[in-house]
Amino acid sequence: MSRETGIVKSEPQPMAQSAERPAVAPPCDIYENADEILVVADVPGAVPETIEINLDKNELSITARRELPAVEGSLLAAEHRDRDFRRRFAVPGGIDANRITADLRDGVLTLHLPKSEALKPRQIAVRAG
Amino acid sequence: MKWNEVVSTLRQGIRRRLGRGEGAVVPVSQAVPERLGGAPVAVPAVDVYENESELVVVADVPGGSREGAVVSWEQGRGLTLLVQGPEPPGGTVWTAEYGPHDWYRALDLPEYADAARATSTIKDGVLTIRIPKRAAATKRIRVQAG
Repeated sequence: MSRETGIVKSEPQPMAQSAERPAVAPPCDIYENADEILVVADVPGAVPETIEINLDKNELSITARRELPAVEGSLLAAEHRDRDFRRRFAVPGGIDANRITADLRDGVLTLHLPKSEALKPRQIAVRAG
Repeated sequence: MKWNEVVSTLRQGIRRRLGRGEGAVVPVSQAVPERLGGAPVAVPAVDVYENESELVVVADVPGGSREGAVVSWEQGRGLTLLVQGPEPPGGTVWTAEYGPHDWYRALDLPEYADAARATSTIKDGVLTIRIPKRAAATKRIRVQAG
């Protein structure tokens, strides 16, 4: 048959893995205190190894790939838990980019954006004339 | 101990050593919990799986830990999960898309779910509840030729 149609049977190939899973924006709360701006994002199921945080110029991007537990069986109800998390923020001026840190606890990611010295509140001494 | 159990115990031990354990165990009690405090409640997203031996409920409860999690069941009222959210950091709020909140959800269970034997774990803000099925639920009925 293959001689007539030119169709040659090939070995089955694995399906190409899509580069990225669908992602949603994680809900975030943002706080400011005297020393820093805090971005608190809900990323349940993510672990430090699967979280990527990049600062490019003034754009801060967070990508968190979640590790879903391997559960055997058929899915009775699915509420879109098979999504990764992705979100970008425009970072205001006056942030010390070199000192940005992040910590992850119980599926909550907290980004610490320290203010540069120029932005910190300071007291101005009044001199007697 | 059956061979299957030996393998399962070994596997769990290895997973724990690799830091991929099932997470902290949350006790499952028989009572409907009281509300934890004044925080508003949010409804966590859940996935529900079913296999031959059990039902598995997986819920997103970011910020929830073993100490603040209560999983309970009551005859005829199903399964309830109540998880305390994290304390907010101090400071001026710029944006609060959720704000401080707890997680609460009640789920109906089918007759064949044996909630009294349910187990629950929490890890990385994900709560997993395993509810074994009653033995009768998986019993096969043989069809005889007439």
